[in-house]
Amino acid sequence: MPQRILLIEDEARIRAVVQACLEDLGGWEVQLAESGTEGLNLAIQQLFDVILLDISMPDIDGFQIYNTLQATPRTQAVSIILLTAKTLPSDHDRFAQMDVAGIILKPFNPLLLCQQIRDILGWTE
Amino acid sequence: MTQLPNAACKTHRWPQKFPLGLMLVLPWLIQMAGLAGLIGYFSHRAGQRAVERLAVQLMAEMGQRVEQSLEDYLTLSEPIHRLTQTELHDGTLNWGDRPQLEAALVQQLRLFPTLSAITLTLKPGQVLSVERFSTDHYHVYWVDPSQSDAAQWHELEIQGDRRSVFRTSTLPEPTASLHQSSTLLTQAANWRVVPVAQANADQAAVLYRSLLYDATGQVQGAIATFMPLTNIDQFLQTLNLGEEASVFLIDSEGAVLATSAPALPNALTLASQTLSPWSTLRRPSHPPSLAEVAVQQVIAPPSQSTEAQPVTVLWQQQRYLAAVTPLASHIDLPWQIVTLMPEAGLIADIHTNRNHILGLALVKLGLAGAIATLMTRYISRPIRALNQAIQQITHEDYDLSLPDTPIHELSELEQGISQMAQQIQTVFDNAESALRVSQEKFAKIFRMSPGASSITVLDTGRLIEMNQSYCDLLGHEHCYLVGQTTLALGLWPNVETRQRYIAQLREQGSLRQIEMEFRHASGDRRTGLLFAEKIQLWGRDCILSVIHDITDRKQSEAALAQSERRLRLLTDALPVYISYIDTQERYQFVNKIHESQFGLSSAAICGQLVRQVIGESNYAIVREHLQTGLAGHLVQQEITLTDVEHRPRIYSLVLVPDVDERQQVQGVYGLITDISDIKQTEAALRQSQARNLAILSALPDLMLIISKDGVYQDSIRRSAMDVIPAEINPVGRPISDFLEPAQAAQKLSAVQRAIATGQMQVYEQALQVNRQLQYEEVRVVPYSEQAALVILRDITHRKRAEAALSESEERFRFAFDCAGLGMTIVGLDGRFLKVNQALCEIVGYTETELLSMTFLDVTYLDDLDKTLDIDYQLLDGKIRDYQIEKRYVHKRGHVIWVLLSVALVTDADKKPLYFIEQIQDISDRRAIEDIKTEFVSIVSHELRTPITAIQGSIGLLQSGIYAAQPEKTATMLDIATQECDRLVRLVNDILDLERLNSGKVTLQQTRCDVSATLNRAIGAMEAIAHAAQITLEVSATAAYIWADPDTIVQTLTNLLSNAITFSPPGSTIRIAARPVNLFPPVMDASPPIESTPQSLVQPMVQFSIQDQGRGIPSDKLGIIFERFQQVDASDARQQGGTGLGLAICKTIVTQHGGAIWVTSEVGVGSTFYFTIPALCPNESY
Repeated sequence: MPQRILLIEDEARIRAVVQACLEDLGGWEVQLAESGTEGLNLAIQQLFDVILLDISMPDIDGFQIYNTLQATPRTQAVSIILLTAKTLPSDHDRFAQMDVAGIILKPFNPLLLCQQIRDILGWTE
Repeated sequence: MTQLPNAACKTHRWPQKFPLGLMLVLPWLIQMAGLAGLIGYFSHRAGQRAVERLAVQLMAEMGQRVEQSLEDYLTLSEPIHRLTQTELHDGTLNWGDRPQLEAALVQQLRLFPTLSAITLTLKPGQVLSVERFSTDHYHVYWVDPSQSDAAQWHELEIQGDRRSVFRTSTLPEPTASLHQSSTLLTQAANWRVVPVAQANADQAAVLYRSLLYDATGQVQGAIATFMPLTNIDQFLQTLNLGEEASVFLIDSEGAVLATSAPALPNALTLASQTLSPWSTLRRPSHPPSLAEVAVQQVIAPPSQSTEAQPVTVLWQQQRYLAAVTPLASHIDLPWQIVTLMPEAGLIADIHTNRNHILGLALVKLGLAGAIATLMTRYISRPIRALNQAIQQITHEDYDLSLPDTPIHELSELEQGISQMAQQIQTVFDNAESALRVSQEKFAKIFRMSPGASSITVLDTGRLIEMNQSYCDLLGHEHCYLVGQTTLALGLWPNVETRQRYIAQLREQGSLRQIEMEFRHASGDRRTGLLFAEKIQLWGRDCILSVIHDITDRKQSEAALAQSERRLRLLTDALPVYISYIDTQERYQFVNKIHESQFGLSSAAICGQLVRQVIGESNYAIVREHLQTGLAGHLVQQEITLTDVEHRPRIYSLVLVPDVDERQQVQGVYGLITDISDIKQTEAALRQSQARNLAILSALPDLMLIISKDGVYQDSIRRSAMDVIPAEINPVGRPISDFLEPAQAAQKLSAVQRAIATGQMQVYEQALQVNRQLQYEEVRVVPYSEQAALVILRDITHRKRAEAALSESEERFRFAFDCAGLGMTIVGLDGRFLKVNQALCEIVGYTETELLSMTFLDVTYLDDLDKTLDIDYQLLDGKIRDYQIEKRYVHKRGHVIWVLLSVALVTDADKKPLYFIEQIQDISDRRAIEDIKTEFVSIVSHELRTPITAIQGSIGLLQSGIYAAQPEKTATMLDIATQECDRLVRLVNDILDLERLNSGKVTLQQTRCDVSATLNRAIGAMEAIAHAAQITLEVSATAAYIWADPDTIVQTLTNLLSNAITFSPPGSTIRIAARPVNLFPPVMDASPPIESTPQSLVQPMVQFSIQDQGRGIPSDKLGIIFERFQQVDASDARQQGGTGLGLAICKTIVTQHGGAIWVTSEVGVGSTFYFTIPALCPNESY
């Protein structure tokens, strides 16, 4: 049973690249969400092993999604990894206050992405 | 008499004394009642047992009789069995002849009316059953498996010998008896109780079966007879068991099968209960019937013995005797016969008997009580009379009248008591006369005695008798004193003292010379000597006492002692050695001070020689003076003696000779005073005065003594500061000789005021000394009634320092008030002590408002902790000053960033006084920094996004996993390419914007033809518009602008690109350019006002690009020209936008001196306008 991953990312090409990495290199099952709203709906309706969450999105940003998932009993325990291009110290102060499994910064090495996720979540290959 | 209370105590536990009558009657009655009760009880028990035995016997007999009769009754049908067997055996009846068999069975059923059915079963499964339906109607059932599986039946009516068949039919279901019959051969038991159908009601019957054998002894079939249980009921009723006895049959499970007692309460139900399956009978009904109760009681312990054991059954508050007899015959039915008899019927007589006995016993008891009471009264009357006589004797009434009594013993007792009374009376008469003589003698002696004699009762102290001397001693009348207690008269100070003496008196019998104080009637306290003797009077312990008045003697003794004490106190209190020395030079008296001096008590010194006490060396000095004194001369000398520690001390010695009336010297009074301390003080005073003078001379102050009228009386000169030349002695001259008149008047007035008020006067003056201005502080102190001490101090230096300080403060105030920065002094409690105008402007409060606030009130809440923290560091001395950036809150509520420099001001002891703070408003700088930070953040994010996609796709391609997947490879390459384009565009836009904004690039402005410029831009975008199926419509007037054409084309292409991006296919974009007169742009992104006044307007060319897109929400209109402020970011990115296009347009237009704005309606479309300064066609540069 492959791991099920939800990717919430508004940039179509980044979505495609991440999906390729996770499916073709990791062998995992990836569910894509094009917007915050869609991502939130999927996260609440289905069960995922981990949610890869972009921060900068036009409709609902990653912070709001995180807060909603935390406030929903069904999704409280789901691991969240932030996948973000926000790299300034002020952004990281804000990330530090969030109880997420890990943060992966953009740009990332596509060949190491799967390993990064495994390391964060303690999965074995 | 005195023993009575104790006796009462001992008998206290017993209730009361009993009257004689009761004592005699009560035991008698108790005995009688007890006896009657016992006899009654035992006779009742004996009767009961006899009846029980009888009942058991009766019921056993009844059970046996019933058993016998029942056996006979049940075996009534045995002849049928035997007959049938015999007839079948000898061929009279044929196995195969059904009508013959049927007739035989019907015949037999008619003969035995107690039976309800007879059934014959043959081995091949054939069953023939005849049942009685009513007296003349019979049902015949027939089953023959060889012919048909169904049962057939017909009904017979028999009247006499005529029989007629009514109905013939087949039965869908076998009847109950038929069903039973089918099992006859297989059943083991011969006797059973089975359910049968009878007259449309379910009943139970006793089935008796016997097997039928053929000639060879093989079982051929069976015959069964059914006897309904109701018939057994009727049989039992006929047994005539007696009026109240009843009997019923129960099976091994306790079910009631039949009963003899339809009249018995609830017995009617018994018959119907036999109809039901037995087990249901076990279920108790409510309330349980007698039968149920009886059965429960009877079978509770299964009665195995043949003998009937009666059991008592309680039902509806009536007791029944029940006994069980098993049906012990050859009939193998596990039945038991229960006989039931109400106990009441048997025991009624016993109860009646018991009541009779009880009545008789009560009558007997009443009679016995009456007789006993009469007897008692007869005996107790003379006893009561005797008792009364004895009471009379104790009350000294010897005239007895005793009644005659017929009882011998009592009569003798009466005589004895009469004699005893007479004897007692004689003895009493003799004793009385002897006593009277004795009393008279005693009374005479008592009255004549000169001592104050009295007789008092020992216990109470009450006076019984006293003589006249006693009355005089106390100052009371005789009649007053009799009956008084000595305590009340004040002869004793308190009860305890008297009790002590009484105890002594009891012990010794007498008291001698007890000194006592008492009160005379006049109120004087007096002293007496008491002599007392314990005597017996009238049977009581009394005291005979005599008191001698010794008051006068006591008073003189006390006066002498007091006088001596006073003298002693006086001499002891004096610090003077007072002694009396006799002619032998021995101390006769010394006061207390000697004790501490010589370490001996006064008593020890008295009697010793002077030389022994004061020592040889001192005596050598004193001796001559002592002898002079003893010679009768007064001596007054100062002498030096050594004290016990051998230190020399100076004494004043006075010796006064004591000369008696014969002019003989008796001794000498010595008065020696230690004056060493006085001498020393005098010396010290002299030294001190000299020293004070020296100190005064050393002081820097000029001191003068000036009299009330202004004349110098003395001076300590300080020539350097004195207006009086050093060579002149001012003493005796008026001050006006040396001082200015005004100053002289001021000084004189101060002197006079000081003398008048007694208070120091202080003032300052300035005067020329040695041609220099000198400041002096003048203090005038009252010195005597006539003069004052004037102290002048030079304070010139202080005055100059004060002036310098004041000037410095003024300078600080100026710097503070007029500084461009906010400045404040803040107290240690955080309160603003001083604020300047600049600070007021920064925070928006007035000076008055700020001075009533603390710095906490204006500090932004989030910065509070930070500020307090660092302030405490400052107060603790860890840092000297600090500078931080923090936020204030303006009075209007907005936040202001300030740069705060704080220093702590302390006093010389490093004790903190207040903070000095400098505040610089840095809000603008912070705002710029914030914008910069945000821009960097956005740019960083915007750059990272395409790079992520590029790195991701290329990395995947590089890994080689898509080597065999050309489609995937193409996708990844496409992603990389497109994101590279985006990156390039983004970088270009950023660079353009930066170039334009930095001012490093100057616009290459030339004269441009508007139409040509428009055409260039349209030419660049035409292909894209065509691809998007969008029509471009151009309308331009001939006009020229002064502009950099490339940048204008860039602006137009940017705007066109946006319009195409957001337009639906098939729509039209209208591009226009027209000259307008407008005010120079004053506001960004808002349309300039078209106006006519020529002087203010500038000719412009207004470009417009109108699309039919979805429009822009009104809240976004203001910001879309900012950087990275797309209306919908994701949408723009998908369209390849960088978010910088409009910002670039705005920059270009603004730098040309034009304006750019947009009007839009959501759902209809947007129109972007920009203006560029126009050139007149003939205008040239």
